[in-house]
Amino acid sequence: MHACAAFEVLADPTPYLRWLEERFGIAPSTFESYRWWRRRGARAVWIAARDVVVDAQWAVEAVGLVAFRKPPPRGYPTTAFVARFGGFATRRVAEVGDVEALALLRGAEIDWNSEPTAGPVVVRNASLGALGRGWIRSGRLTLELRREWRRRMGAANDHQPNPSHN
Amino acid sequence: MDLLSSTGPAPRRPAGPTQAPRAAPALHRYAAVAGDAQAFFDAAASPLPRVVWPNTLRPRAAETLARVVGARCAGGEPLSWWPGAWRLPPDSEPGRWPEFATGLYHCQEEASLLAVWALDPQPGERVLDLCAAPGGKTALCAVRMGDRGLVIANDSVLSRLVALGDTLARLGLTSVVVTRCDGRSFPAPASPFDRVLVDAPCSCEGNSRKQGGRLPLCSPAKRDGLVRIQRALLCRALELVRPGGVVVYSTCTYAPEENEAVVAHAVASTPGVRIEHLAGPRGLRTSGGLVRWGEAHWPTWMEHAVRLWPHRSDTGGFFLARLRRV
Repeated sequence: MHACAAFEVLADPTPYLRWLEERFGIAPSTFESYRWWRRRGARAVWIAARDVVVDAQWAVEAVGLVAFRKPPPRGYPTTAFVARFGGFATRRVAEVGDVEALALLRGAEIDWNSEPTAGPVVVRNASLGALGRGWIRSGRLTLELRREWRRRMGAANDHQPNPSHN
Repeated sequence: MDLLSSTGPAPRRPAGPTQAPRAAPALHRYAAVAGDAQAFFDAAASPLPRVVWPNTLRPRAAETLARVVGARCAGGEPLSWWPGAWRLPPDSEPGRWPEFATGLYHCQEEASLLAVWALDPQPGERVLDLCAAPGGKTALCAVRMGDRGLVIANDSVLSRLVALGDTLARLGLTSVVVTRCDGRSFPAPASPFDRVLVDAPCSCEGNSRKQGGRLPLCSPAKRDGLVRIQRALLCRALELVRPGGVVVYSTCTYAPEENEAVVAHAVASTPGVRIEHLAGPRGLRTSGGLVRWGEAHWPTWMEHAVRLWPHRSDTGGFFLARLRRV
């Protein structure tokens, strides 16, 4: 069953697929083995494996992974979604070196003087793969991470390096 | 420049004062069944090694994790019975390494991996984790299934679902549905499950190594209440699994009332259920279930269940039984 009291399969995921293709160059075919779900009455959209079903009697709290918290054009993919699927991106990818990757993960901003010059990006590192969704603003790159994930790294990491992008 | 060696090890919290291990009074009742009682008491009060396993949904996760461990943690060693997993010294803090936030790996107690090993979920199957929070076993099931199929992560307590959701998002899992139902009356879906994991709420006596050996006593009344819940959960799980399907029952306690007695009750009260022999994976020293505890006796097939004792396997205390509906 593809609907319950709280969730239902999205009838038309085209706006999300189009955004991912136009901005990040991720082909829609990447998501052929997935379905897009929405929480009734909410704006967030979730992506789940095609085998996923729900039962009308279940009190469902989550289906798969939150992909967008708001629909495009105002909404952007979540950093968890980008970390999972950012490896398929061919556009707006910020490839960062090892030192920069760790600095971003610890919450630092880094100088960014390359393309792209503004807006959302996929932050990627050769060793760690896609780190998540970044943002470039005024020549600076930041990485979105859940506060909880940063909190786990602890106050010991508060003195963050601030390397420049080469 | 190398990603890891360039940054040095992550800062660690200062270690507390060293204390001589002492046996928690709650564990005295197991002296007769633990084998070497003093070794059991000492091990149950010693710090617990940590385990990390790679999120193989990410490209080259196992190789990258090996490099991360090598660079950040002296004394890490591969876990012989789980490919790609590492056993780390007790004072390591892999949950605070920056790479943790990328979803490259997850931290879990070694004993918990055994429950998923016994469940053996396969890609494309329908799996129910009846008491899922905080979600480590759910996540390991989904990763082991290649994120293909369906894993229901159920827990009745909303606050416990927060940590579960956080783990699933960090690892980028798409095959998991989170539900908040009372596991004792979990609604049966149109198609039954292939496998059900019942990692039941328990007195948690096997967790003493996480608490510096300290352990609150479990009163008889509290134990009775837990046993009622455990029995109901396991019986419900056996109703929800398809014929031929598997139910794994596990706890992190030594108490036979919460382990062997619960399994014996479920097998006796559910037609067409048998316990399967579990030898335990190679490289992990396990013991069989008990057939006698005080006045209580159970059939010899109870030896097919598995116990982990900290002084034998250097893990937390753990019990599990694999049941098949025939």
